Amino acid sequence: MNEANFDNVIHAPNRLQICAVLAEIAELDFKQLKQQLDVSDSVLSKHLKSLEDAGYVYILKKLDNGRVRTWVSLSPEGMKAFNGHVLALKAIIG
Amino acid sequence: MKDEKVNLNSEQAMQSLDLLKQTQTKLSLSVRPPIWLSSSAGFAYGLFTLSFSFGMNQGIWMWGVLLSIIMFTSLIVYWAQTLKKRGIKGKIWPSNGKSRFTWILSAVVFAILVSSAISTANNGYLLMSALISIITGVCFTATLHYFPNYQFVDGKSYQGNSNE
Repeated sequence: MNEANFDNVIHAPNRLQICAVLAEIAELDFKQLKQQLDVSDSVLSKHLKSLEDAGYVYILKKLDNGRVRTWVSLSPEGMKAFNGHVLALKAIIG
Repeated sequence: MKDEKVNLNSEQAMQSLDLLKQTQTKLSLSVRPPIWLSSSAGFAYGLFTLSFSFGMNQGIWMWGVLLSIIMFTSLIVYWAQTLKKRGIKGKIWPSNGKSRFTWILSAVVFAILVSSAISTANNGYLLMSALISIITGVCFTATLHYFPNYQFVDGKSYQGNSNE
């Protein structure tokens, strides 16, 4: 069971969106994630770096048909932090 | 950065939750199979229920079971591969409570429908069994269309999002 826990790393709108998408899916390609969020490569990279530094996402480069694809997934810590953050937001609303 | 005191009023919290919902709805619409695929998978599931109920060991119904399994498996594998090419790898077991409830509920409902079709056919009510099989197929199509990611999505609920 998760506890309500406001998390400043996740709270930024783009990072909240990244976690919201990754919480629902096993892995997402960088390009697909960019498309889901409707942001530029640099903005997405910056937010992913913050989440990776916090240990909330895994970023893996895999070879697929001769080209490198970047796959992003939420770590167990990221999932826990995201669920806790959502509970904290719900607690604020009451 | 965790547990820092943040001054957030309920309106801002509501906006964050709305943004979260919009984002997840957009994702659900991205993973939703096209209607032809949902209908074909529903048809295969209905055909399987009908053929299995009417007697797997009897000639044509055995072929019905075989055909429906091949058709159903091919459609699911095709859609999983299509999503993977587009950069999406789905989860078989969802991570949040609501989605898990939907997953379990749909598994229970389909188990009840299939076993009802079998038991009505075994008791000689073939028409009733056929009707249950059709209902099973239609329900499966509707589940794939409205719960593509184990959460209800109707397309109208997504109004696009603007951020940053």
